[in-house]
Formats: sequence, structure tokens, C-alpha cells
Amino acid sequence: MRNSKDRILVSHAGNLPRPPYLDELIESGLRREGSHSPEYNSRLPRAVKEIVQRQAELGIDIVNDGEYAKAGSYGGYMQERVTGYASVPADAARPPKRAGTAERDRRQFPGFYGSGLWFSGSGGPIRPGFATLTEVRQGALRETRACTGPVKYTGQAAVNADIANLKAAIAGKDVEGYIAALGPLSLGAGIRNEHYASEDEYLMAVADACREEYKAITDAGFIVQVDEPEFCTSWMFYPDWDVSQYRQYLEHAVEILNYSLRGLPEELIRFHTCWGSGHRPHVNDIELKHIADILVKIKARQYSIEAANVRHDHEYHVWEEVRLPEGRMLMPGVIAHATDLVEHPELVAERLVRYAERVGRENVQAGTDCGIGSRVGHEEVVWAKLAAMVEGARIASEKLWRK
Amino acid sequence: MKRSQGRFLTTHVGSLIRPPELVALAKSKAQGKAYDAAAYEQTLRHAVAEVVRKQHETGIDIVNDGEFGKSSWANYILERLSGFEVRPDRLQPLVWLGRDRDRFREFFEQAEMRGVVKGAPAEVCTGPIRYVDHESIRRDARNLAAALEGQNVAEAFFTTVAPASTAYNGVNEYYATEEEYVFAIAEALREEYRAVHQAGFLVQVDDALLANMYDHLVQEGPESYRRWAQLRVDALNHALEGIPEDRVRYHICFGSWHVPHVSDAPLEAIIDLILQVKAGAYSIEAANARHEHEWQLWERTKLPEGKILIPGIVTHHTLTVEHPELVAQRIERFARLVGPENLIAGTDCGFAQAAAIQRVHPSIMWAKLASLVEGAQIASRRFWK
Repeated sequence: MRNSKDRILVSHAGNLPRPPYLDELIESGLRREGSHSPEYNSRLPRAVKEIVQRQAELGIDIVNDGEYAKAGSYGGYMQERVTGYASVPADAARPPKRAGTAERDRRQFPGFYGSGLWFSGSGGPIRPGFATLTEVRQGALRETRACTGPVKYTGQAAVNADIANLKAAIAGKDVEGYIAALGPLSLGAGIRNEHYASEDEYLMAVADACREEYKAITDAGFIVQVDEPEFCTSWMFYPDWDVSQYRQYLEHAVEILNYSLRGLPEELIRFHTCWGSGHRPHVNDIELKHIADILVKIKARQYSIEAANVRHDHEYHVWEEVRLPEGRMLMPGVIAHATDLVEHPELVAERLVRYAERVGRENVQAGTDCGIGSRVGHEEVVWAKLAAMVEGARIASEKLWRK
Repeated sequence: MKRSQGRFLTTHVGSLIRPPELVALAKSKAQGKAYDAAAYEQTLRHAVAEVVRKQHETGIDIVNDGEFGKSSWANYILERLSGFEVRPDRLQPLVWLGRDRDRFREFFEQAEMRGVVKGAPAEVCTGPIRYVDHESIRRDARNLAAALEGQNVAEAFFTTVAPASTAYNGVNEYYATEEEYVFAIAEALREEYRAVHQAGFLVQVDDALLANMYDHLVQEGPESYRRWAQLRVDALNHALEGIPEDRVRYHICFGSWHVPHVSDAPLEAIIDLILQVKAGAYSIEAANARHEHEWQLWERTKLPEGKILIPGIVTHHTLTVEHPELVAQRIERFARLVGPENLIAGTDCGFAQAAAIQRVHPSIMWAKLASLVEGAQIASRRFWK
């Protein structure tokens, strides 16, 4: 993994807009089953080539495959690459394993969550969203996933195809490549274990399965981005915990994570976490200052973390208190999907300089808050934001490397 | 005008989300349908009392009536002026969106502006412009005064529209020159400004168009915008004559619509025009991704002696609620440059530019205002300890 040796390097957190010839096979992400077809897979090499080319032309230094193979689901794809899970009928008599998305916010904003607005884009009621209440799969209410057998990774062929597509697309370009892969908590922690003797045994098996995917990616020489929103969002799933209880949970989470990363080259590991990409108040997000010292115990070369929206923009000060360990890098979000307004390049530069002043310019790369591809009003906005990020990184580099 | 002394005062830009029962009545009224006028007046009065109480309870220092008595932030004035007729068959291109319309063509076709990108009905001036509805402003002033009774707020403001933003899809077919037309608007608006002033409220003049017309007009040549804007700033100052500067706030924003805003005017290009306006305070958008960096402008531009800056510190442009620490950081950045006593914390723009618009869910609007108040308290402790 390159560092920002003589200028701020630019990457992003994953999801990018899909071309129409992929979208038409999956109803723009609503029918992910379409991505299992031979037709979808046969169109992928071209699509990955085009999206890599577009990123490179734009000036992005560390590029990916747009997560096209994942067909719009950063986590759901993994259910198709592991054994051990089954859908079982929902049992109303049995309480769920934990509370749902944004539970602490839901309690504070019942009217907002009731309105369904949070499924939509960044605007008001006349603004079309990317999903409405009626589009949310009703099946989820009738069925639930459970671990009913040994969890094993069976996605070798799929990840090898991902690797081959990216390798072909990158050939001859002066860029690095990364592939996102789901974190063990985000894969397993929300699903009830009905197979293993203990929760711990279960999560270690999940971690082993995830490790197979990470290893395939790093063996190929690519950076693996471990997507683990649950490092931050679990705070919502356990709405009655206090900070010390949550820290205890995270300390154990780090053990699971590091177990899943054992023996892999730290040099090729980027850890991504965020507070959930939903367009919602986020008033109860766990504060970075409460968890940053635990975050940096994860054995990764780089931490990609949300920082460009109004709930987390102020948190650069945390890095005055918490030291970024030697040899680690930060990729703060400097553009956000939380607004359709395109960040001014000067604002991007300002944000990058704030981080560079605290952790060293060579340890900062420019990133996005979260996967941006489907979260803003139109792909035109995605590309304008990514262009603003590249331009902002150029301005910041000028300031930071000025003689 | 109250200043921040010992702590940062808080205010907002004006429009707040109306309660559903008021929206329903206002809709019938606006569509010319039969409606219960007495019920409307009573609902309006109660809603104003409630929204003032709620601002006070939230801790906002300088409050208003939420603009509840108006149909929208600017076009309400056409209901109070003579001389204009709306021609639905004549569509005016929305030049005030600038080149964003071309840069983000597909986005606009599917976004909230859909249906209007092709143009809006022209507001054609076909006769002398006079301020003819004196009763609405009296009623609004009465409602606000009544709502303020018993509420221990620092001050109240009342929003009005600027000449530049009056009939912003307008066409003059009556006056011989553009200058005559613009000054006729100013003469009429002066009556409203004075009515607000005489009622004892701060006069806030809203002027989004001063910024919005920039991108379109500079394409015609660098002088085109300056000429257009200077005439309208002069007209506004003419209309404000006789009202002490200290009783006037001037609000500038770049358009509240949730679009990319890549073509917005740089504040630097228009700040000299803004500062020409004879107002004691300038309210300027600054809390969103496109304009947040512009606090740095105050390193190079001096806020004139005695003036107050009301930057946007929380925004309607995202559903996420500003962290109070971010609010404090933003306030501090401005206060270090213009002086804490010259700063009041505000919002980017209103939250409901017309009766039926809601820029965020109402619960989020109030959470943002609460965050503004809390962040101002944090910043106050740092500055005045």
C-alpha cells in the first residue's frame, strides 16, 4: 500500500454507479438474484474495465471494481459465498437477537422513522428516493436468517473472478487496486447461532470463513478493504448499553477481527467502518472519541472512517488525544453521500489539511464517508463529488508540500 | 439590534415547517377553492403562537412567526402588489439555476425540480406596481406581537422580500426602462418594510436572487451581472431609506433546493454588493458542503464597523443533525475573524420556502435548532470564560 509520500493520494469507500447494461439485469439493485446469472457475469469484465478506466482518468489513485459483483449489497453478497445459514420462519414469541438499525434514533424520532423518509435521498417529501417503504422486502418480516450448520467459505470461484476482472482492468495503469470484503461482525453478529456450542465459537468460525476471502484478495496482491460498519453501528443494536459496556464489546470484536486477519500482510489491509449510510438524524451515533483507541488495535495498515458529514466532521480533534500508531494511515471521508450538494474542493482541502496536521501528511489519504454510488440523487452527482475530492486533494497537497 | 454579549445569540433565517392543518387551509386558499376564512385566520393565529413558544422553548434568541402568514418566501408579495399577472402559457427558463441545469441534466429531470426545469409561468408586469394589500402585513404583525406576549425572547424579526427577488420569473411589459421597473418594485416594497419596522420588529430582507443570478449573467460577460445586481442593490437601499440600519437584516443564500450547487456564485465575487446594503446584519449561508469553506473569506474581507454577521451554522441540506461540537467549531471559526460580539449563529436558509415544502422532517428541523443552541452554549463558554 503506497503512502502519501509527496502528495495526498485519493481513493473511496467502495460502491460506484453501475452501467445500465448491468442495472437492467438486477432492476437497479432491487432484484439482486439477477446478478447470479451467467449473463450478468459475462458483462462484468467490460463493466469493471470501464469503471477502473473512469476512476483512473478522474485521478483516483487506489481504485476498485465498483463493487459490481456485489450488485448493490455490500453485505448480502457474502450470504451467497458461505455455507451454514438458512432462512427460518420468524418466531414472534422469540425476541430478536438484538435491536434493529438506528434503534436509539428511532426512539427519539418516531415521527421521522414512521414517515419512511429515511429510505429516501437527502431531500424532502417531493424528492424521489432510492427505496420506499413498499419496496423494502416484505419477506424480511416473515423470515429470519439463522446459523444452522458449519459456516464455511465457498466463494473461491466468485472471489477469483473478482480478482481476475480487476487485474485485467488495472493492467498497465499506474494505480493500486482494492476489493471490499465483508467483516466478520457484519456477516455474523446479527444472526442467531443455532449450531455452534457458544456464540464465541460461532463468531470465530465466521471469522475463519471471512479470512478465506481476505486471503484470496491479498494473495493476488490487492488491498482488501474489510467492510465492518458494525464496529460503530452495534451501538444502535444494543440501545441500553452504556459506553463502558460498548467498549467491552468492541475489545472482544477486535479479537475476532484480528483473528480473521491473522497471518495476512498488514500492508494490504484497509479497515472501513462507518455509522450507517442511511439519510437520518444520526444524533445517537457512538462518538469516535469513545472508540478510537480500540479501533487502532485492529491490525490494518489503514483505517477508512466517515468524517465528512455534519455528525462526524468535528471529530478530527480525536487524533490529538488518540495517537495513530506508527505505520498506520487514515482515510477520513472528505466527501459525503449525506447531501446532494457537491463539496467545494476548498472544503475538501481544508478537511485533509486538518488531518495531515494531526497524523502527518504522509499518513492521510482522501476517501469518501461510505460507498457513494447509490446514495446520492444521481450518478452525475457521484462523479462531480469524486472530481471535487481529486481537486481538493491537489489543493491540499500544494499547501502541505509547499516549500 | 441585540448583539452577542457574554454569549452567542442564536436565530434562524425565517421559514419554519407549518403544521398540517395550516398547510391544508393554505392550500385551498392558494388554489382559489372555497375555504373557511375564519378557520384559516384562527388556525394561523394559533400556529404562530405555538411556533414562537417552541422557538423560545428550544432556546432561540431572535425569533419570528415562521413565515406562516405567507404562501412562500418571495412570491407571496405578488398577492400583495398590483401590476402583475401570471401567464401559465408563457414559460420563463429558470436561469437562476445557472449552469447546474446543463451540468446535471439527468439529475434535474428526476430530482425535486422535475416539472419545473422546463420553465415557470412568467409573472408579467402589465400595469403600475403598488402595494395594495395592507391588511395581510398588519395581521401578520398582530399575530407575531400577540405570540410574543409573555415570551421572554431577546428580539423578533420579520421576513420580507428584496426587489431583486420580487417576481423572479418576471417580465416587464409596462415600464419604459428596467430601472423604472425595479424602482417601482422598491417603492412598493418600502411600504411593507416600514410596516414591519413600525410594528417594532427587525426587518429581514430576503434576497436569494442576488446570488442566484450570478452564474447565468456572468456567461453574458463580466459586467452583465454587476450591472443587474448594482441596480437592485441601489433600489433596495432606496426602499430602506428612513429605517435605521440597526433594525435591518439582509439575508443572502444560494438557493435552498437540494441540488449539486456547483454553479453557485463564489461569495467572494458578490460580497462587496452584499455589504453595500444598508443593513445592520448580514445573514449568509455557510453550513453546507458548497459554502462551508467560505468562512476563510473573512480573513481577507473586513466586516464593516458596527455590523453583525449571521452565518449559517446548521443547514436544511442534510437530514443528519449537526453535532453540537461542529456547531461550536463553526461559530469559533467565524468569531475569531469578525469578533464574538459581531456574530450571531443562524441557519443556512429557511426550512419551508413555501407552504407545502418541507426541507427536512419537522422533528429534524427542531433537533437542528436545538443543536444550534447547544453548540452556541459550548462556544460561548470558550469565548467568554
